[in-house]
Amino acid sequence: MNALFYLFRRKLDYTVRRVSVYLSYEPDSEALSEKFYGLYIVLLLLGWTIVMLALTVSWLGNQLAKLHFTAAEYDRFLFLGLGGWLALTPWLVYRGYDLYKFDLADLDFLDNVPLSPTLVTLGWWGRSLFKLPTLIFTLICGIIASTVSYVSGGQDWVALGLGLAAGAGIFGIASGFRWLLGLLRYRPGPTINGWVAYGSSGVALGILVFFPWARVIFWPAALVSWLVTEATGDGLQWLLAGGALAGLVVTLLGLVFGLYRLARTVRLAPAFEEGKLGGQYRLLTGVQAGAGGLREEASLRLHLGRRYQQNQGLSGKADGALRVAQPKFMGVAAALFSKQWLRFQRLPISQTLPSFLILILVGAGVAVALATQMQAQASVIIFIQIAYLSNWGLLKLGVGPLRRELSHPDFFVSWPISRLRLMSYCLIAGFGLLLVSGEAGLLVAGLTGLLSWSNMGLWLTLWGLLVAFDVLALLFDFQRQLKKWSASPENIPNVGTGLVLLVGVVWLFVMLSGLQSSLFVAAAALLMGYSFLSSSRAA
Amino acid sequence: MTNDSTELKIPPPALQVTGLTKSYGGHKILDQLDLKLPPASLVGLLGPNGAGKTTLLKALAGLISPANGRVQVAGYDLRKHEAEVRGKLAYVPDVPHFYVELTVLEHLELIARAHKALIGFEERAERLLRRFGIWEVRHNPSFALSRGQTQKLAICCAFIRPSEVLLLDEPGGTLDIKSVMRLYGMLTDYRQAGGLALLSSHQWESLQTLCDMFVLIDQGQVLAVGALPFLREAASLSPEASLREIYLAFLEGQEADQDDETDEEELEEADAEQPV
Repeated sequence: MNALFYLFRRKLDYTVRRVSVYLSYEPDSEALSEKFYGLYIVLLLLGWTIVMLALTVSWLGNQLAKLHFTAAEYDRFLFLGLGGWLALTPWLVYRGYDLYKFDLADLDFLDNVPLSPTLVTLGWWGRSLFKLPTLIFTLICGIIASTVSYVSGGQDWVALGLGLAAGAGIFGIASGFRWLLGLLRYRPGPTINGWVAYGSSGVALGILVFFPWARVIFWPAALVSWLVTEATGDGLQWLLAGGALAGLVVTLLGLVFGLYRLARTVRLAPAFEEGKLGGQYRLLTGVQAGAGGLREEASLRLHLGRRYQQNQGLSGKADGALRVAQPKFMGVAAALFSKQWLRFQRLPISQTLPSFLILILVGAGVAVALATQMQAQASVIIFIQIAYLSNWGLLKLGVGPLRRELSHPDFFVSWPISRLRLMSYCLIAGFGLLLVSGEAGLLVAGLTGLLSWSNMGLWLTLWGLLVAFDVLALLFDFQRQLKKWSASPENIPNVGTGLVLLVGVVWLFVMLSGLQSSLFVAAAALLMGYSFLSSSRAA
Repeated sequence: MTNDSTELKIPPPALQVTGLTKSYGGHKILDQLDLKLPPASLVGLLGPNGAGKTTLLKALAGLISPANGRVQVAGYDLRKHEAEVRGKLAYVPDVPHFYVELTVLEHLELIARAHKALIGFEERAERLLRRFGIWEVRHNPSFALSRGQTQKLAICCAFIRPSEVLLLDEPGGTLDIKSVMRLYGMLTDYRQAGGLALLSSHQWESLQTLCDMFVLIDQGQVLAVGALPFLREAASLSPEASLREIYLAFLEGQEADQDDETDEEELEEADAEQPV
């Protein structure tokens, strides 16, 4: 127990020190000036929070007042939302993984300090509540309560307090419920399978929407929605509000008791196993994502690691038969394509779909915005924004496959082609979908009358030239950056602001040169870029 | 007059390095390094920690760009004929980074496909993987391998494709003794097939019997290159002296030279400060 307190105190110290670094405050200093500075920071933050809350509430209240909803209607919306959250808990538990979310250091600590499963479970559940999502959710509940009270002429400051308490309460209850069901996975005996998870969530949603006594069954959601939306409406009902809060506390205590009883039968070994994979994922996304932008790699590793732990092959089959043969399909391009195809097959749909959607939306959005604004002869300010923001998005997205390849430096050596050609292949893979979706977007804009159809050939060519220029600029920039690279995955080169600005200036020239001459300007820029690249390569 | 068809053609060195220089943060890791190694040989790269062994191998592999200097593989300049060099050069890093999404066997297949070496791939891959004892884990993802298995996979990736020069950065560091012996057996075969293998290692006893030549480096410069008898003679040691003794003699000589230089500089400074 003391060891657990010690661990959490260290974690708290660490958090305090991190915050102190941000605020340039030295907590260990005995100097009076430093103490005054700390007080000043606290007062400043407190004052800023109060002012921002007041501003948010009044602005939101004015917007909501236009909708003319009654407090009862807000109550119903909120009840359905919170009830839906509780109803979906079995599904969330079934889809979830690594309930405890141990850090890798926690695993080392627990290996050396044998604590009982009950203590570990209650300790890490409690710790899971002190995270940023809890704060955000609680704050949102408080703001909603205050806003609804402000609209209906109630005591918005009291409502803020009640909303905060109710928000924290329902978050704790939902979390406790999720942990209660989640713990079943770590104890001997039947666990929640897919049928049970989807079935119970479906039935619960049905009850929530259609059953007349749904408020009784989903009582925590009912109490919170009432506290947030109606408790301080026209007149404060202190007794009822107190009763509702007491109801939430009793529910929470009941869940804690349930967790305590269930945790006694839990085996920690599978939780540690999941925690190791999850801990590595958090480490990769926390440390390397900033340096190398490898969040996607970490997610893929977690996904495939889960499959592997469940004795499934990487493609979902138990044994991936050797697919080789087909010796005709050889060479670097074929190898890269086959690798990309395997990757595509193995990425979880939750990762593939958003990635593709973003690429398609950005490609089409940028192309259509560029063409329509040029057609409308928009102002320079608009052009500057399009040039900078578009290229920021295009370059960051398009460079993804190249940076992924660079994160395997030894393989980067193994490809029997020049570095420049390999980079070109990677960038073609990165910009291919952006180019195609842009062309498709332009065609759709032409068909819907957004763009003049007579100039469609010009738009399509211009988009191709501009994307090609982006690719060329990236090749030039990465060739320059790779000369200084230490071939370590921790410091992979990235798209810098300088490159975005440079490419943005070229785009701006193209946009300002008018509809007819834009093609010539873009082609000239492309030729000039190619010439630069060739000369830098020769040097 | 000489007839072109009868003229004796001397093959180019398998690996030639001229004036190779690389610095990080103002500190020279490689300093005007020159090296020439023949084909069909096994060469041990030796040096203390931080001598520049890994940086040299990375520069030879074209993984990092040197500030100055030239690397030629089988007569091809790395900068001008990059594709040809990469086709002839294989590299086994000290810490390999594999693709998350691929299995052990798929990594081999990927390399073989890129190098157009898929003919007879199944048999070669099985033989290699069995030799290093990772056939049983061939369908496992690369991230599920142990450190030793990861190193074995990196070695297999280098041997599954054709090459003329093989660079190995401490390949035996995490391998079990059986696998080390098998690796040395494969390297001997590689030499017989005409390849040059340059390997950095701290396993002195094994290197002494395995390698034909040794390159001793320190502070980014070559101290000595040659076969064991030549190095013994250069270090003025007895014919029974081991590689370890030769290496230490060269390092001590280097340190003594440095001390002498420092003493001379200090004396000169002291003389300059003496009042006339």
